[in-house]
Amino acid sequence: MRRPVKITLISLCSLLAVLVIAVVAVSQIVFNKDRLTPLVKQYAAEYVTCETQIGDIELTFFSSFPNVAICINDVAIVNPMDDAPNDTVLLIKRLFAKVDVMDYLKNDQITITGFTLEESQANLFVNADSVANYDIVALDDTEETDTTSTSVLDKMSLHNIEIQNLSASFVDLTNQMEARCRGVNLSLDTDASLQMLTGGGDIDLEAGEVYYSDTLNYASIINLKLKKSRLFYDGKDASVNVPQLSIESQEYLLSGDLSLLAKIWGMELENIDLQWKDGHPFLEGTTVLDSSEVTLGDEDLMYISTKRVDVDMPVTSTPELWTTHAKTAIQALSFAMDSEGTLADHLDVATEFTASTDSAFTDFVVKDMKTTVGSQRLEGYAHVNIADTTVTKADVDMTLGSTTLKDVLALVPESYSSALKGILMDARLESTQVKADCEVRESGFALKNAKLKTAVHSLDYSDDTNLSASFDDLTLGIAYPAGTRGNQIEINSVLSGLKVEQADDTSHLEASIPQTTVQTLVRDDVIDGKDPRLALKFDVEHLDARMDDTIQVQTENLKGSADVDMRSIKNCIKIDTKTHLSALTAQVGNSMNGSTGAVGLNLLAVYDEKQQDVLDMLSPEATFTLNDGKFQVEGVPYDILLPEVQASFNKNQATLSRCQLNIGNSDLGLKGVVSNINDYLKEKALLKGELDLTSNCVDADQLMDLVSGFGSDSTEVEEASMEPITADTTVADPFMVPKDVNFVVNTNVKTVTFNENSFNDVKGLLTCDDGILVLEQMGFTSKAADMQLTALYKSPRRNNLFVGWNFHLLNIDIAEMIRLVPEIDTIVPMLSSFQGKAEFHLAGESNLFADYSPKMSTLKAVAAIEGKDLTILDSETFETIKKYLFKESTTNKIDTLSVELAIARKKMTLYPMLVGWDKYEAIIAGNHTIVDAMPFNYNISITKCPLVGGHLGLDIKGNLDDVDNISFKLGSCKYANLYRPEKRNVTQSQTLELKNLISTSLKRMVKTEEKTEE
Amino acid sequence: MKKIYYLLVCLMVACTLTTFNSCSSEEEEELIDETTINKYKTAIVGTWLRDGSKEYWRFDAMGSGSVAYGENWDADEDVHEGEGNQFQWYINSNGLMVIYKIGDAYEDPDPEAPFTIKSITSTKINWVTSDGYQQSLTKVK
Repeated sequence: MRRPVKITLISLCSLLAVLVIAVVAVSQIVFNKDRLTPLVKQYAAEYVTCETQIGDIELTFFSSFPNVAICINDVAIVNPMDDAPNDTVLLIKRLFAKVDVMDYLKNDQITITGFTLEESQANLFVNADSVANYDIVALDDTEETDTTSTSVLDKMSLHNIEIQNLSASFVDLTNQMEARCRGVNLSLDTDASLQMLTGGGDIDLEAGEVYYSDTLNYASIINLKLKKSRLFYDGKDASVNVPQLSIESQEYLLSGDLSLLAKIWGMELENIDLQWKDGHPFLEGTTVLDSSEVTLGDEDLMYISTKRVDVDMPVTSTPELWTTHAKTAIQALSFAMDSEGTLADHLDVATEFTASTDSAFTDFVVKDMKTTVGSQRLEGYAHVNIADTTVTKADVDMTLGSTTLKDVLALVPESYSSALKGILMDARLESTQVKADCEVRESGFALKNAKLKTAVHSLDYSDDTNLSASFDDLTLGIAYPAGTRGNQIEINSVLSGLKVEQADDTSHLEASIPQTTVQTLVRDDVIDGKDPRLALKFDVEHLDARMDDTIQVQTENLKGSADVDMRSIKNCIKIDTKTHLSALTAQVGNSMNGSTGAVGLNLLAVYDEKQQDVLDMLSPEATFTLNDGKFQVEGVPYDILLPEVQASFNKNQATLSRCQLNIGNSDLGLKGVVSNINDYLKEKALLKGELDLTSNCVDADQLMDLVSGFGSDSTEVEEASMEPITADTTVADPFMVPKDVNFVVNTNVKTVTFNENSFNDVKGLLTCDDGILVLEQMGFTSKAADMQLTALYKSPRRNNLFVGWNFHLLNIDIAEMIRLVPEIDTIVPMLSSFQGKAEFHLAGESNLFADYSPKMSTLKAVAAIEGKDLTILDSETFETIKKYLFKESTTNKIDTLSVELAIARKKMTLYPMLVGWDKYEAIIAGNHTIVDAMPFNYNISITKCPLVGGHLGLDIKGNLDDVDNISFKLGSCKYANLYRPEKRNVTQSQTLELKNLISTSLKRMVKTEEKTEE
Repeated sequence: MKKIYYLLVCLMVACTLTTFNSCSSEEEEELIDETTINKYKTAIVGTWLRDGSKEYWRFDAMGSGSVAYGENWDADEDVHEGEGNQFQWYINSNGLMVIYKIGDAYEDPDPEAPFTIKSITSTKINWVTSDGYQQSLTKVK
């Protein structure tokens, strides 16, 4: 180096040194803390509107050369405000910052090479009037708004930030918001541009508490520790590396339409390595939660809790594909929904799967999924595509591994398992495979196709109600789409070896079905949440059901179908069933057993739950057929045969198309309609029936034995037990005529046998009207006579029945008449002395005891008997008398016989009966009691006798049960003038009127009936 | 019965052979006057119990017609009021006539009617049946 240059450089250096020394010297003089601190305090007092305390301020050059460092100690800003939690706005123990002067001079950049904040505290507050305690700077209104702050930040970069024990709080009463943190220690070795928000660095962070709350939400984090972490972001790529992040506890509340409350304890993230490079992520690391608790909804709509959660989910990507192979394990998972209760209770769940998605995040695939829930294992595959924003497509293929029912039940939460208390069941479940392909659109969920296949073996079930059930095998298959239109879900099941038994000390119920198949088709709109429509077919080869060894039912080939449409009619369920079986046998102890051939029942019902009455609720329409029925009933000594029954019914009427019933000697064919069923059940109307009864033979004696006791109920029996009756109450219950019914049976019976008599061509109406049974104008014939009968039977109470009749025997042999109606011989004993044809008219009524015996005090009857040319004596007697009394030409016959009888109050009155015989004429009259010893009192008035030419009277008295002691006395001829109008007295006139009243009223009934028949 | 009738016929024949004429006169009728009839029609109304039995008689008031209605029943046979024999009754010069209802018609005369009323007080009825038996009834309500 040449000397001048050297001297020049030395001179410049010396000058520069002098200059530096001069600057330093000046700085030491001008900016030393003794001079600088008062200066700052002065400016602070001028620009800060509240109390400000500053310990000291120091500006150094040498110790931080080439940086300028500023150090501020013991700063306090105090601004008391009402409602503020603290008067102190800001408290700083020490603030230290270094600025690179050379960078500023050369590059116009503000580079803060170091920033340290120690023991600081900030208490920011905004009161309800939006006045802040940190609004403390006095601004000159004339000054223009500072627009340089942004440009300053643009030029600013930060390095080496150190914060120790920072506490800060912010309370905003205007917005009802509060945030705070305490114990914050931060060490950030960073290179960050505040302009670009780029940079990176190493971070160590500790926070004792971080808290935020407003009117709806809050978040709380306790003891957050982040160590040796590194952040990097250059505006394009980013990376985060977290060797360890731990948070002792976290609690979050997010409120809105639904509130979400999450509590997490002991969260640790280890080796988290997140990179974002060229737009592609890479994530690796594990997350461990000691336990967590999430509640959704103000009223615990949903609740999830865990004891420990481990998540390891590395993510890698290519420009086309993002892939992760995840492993998660959850201990003691509990899940509850308010509407369903606890659905999972302390379950251990582990899952491992490989998931991938395209870079557009529109196509997701989960494969190789292996999930274990308790001891259950689920494997499968799922694919979801949302490329079309209007539709989400998904298909899944899942397989539940083989297991046992006991293991599955072990997963049932306690709240549900309590419902299973007392139930023991186990079965072996084969692996269950489910395949489904579906779409979700705005319009709803659409299942494209689905299949399920499973099998259950060796089911054993028992519970504390003593019910036990078992089956050998059940195979179940579900397929969609199915049906001719492809809009149905098909469910097929085959069940074999089913046995059901319920037994306790008092009853024993047992049923077995060796083999049954059930096919169900459900219309697919059920998937959309619509009411289902299903078609069911079942085939039960054999059914055997028993109860207490007293009731046994067996069916063969029970087949049927059912269509159930839950939405066919608005808010109603339509049910259409068809059932058929080839044979049925049934036994009810010793009281009944029977068997049938084919039985069919078709039922169409529309179920409306809004209705109250059963028939309105179901509106049933049904048809029923039965063939070859044969029943034996205890107490009925005959088989009851039902060769054929065809019937149909709806809620208003039942139609008996054909019903053949054979009992003993009787065969009954019934057809007709029973109506008003629904109104009858509602007690609004009588049950009406119009039936045709046709028969070749009716054995009335057998049928009357059968119907004894019909209609009696416990109430009536109880009433009967309280009745102070003289009749024997131990007799069988009588036939009680149903009340509230009106049945008309049009009978056409070829032969009725009754009391060893046969009646032919029995035709007429049998009506049962509200407790009254009427045989109306029943006409019939027998070998002895033509007959007409109208009869009435009522049963107002058990021991006071009522019977009324109007009976006409036309052109009948007297002996046959007495044989037909034996009671006539009791009432008119002398009638048996006549022989020949007569007409017999009888009308009467009587109350009856429960055993149908008449209450004689109520027996009322009138009878008229008319005969001509009746034989009165046997031939030998007649021939003897004839020699002395009669002409040679006189025959053993009387010309006419006209008898009028009346019965009432246990007495029978024989009204004066005129008997004409040859030259003789006599009038017989009197009465006798028809009970007990049957005392009688008769008078014979001989009004015509050629031997004496005058009148003669004979009184005959005695008891009919003691004919050996009858008293005969000559007496007055009471009726000498009965048929002499000019001499007839008042009593005799009245007697003839009554006699005429009886005769004409009875005969009038015959005429009326004949007219009616015509 | 054949025996009875055989005896009757023999007796009848025997009597005629004796040429005994006993029909010279018939029993005199006991007729009651209109005033007494009207008195009885009023006094008989009520419910009566035939003495020595549980046979009740209820005679309803005459009303505007010439006949009235009533009922009798026998508690010995577990027959209550309303279940017994409905009748119509009237009183004429020959006595009390009772005709029972069968079906819809009143056509069955009481076998002991007409009853010859001997007296009716507020508590007692005394009558004689057509076959000569005296009976008394006590009013029960």
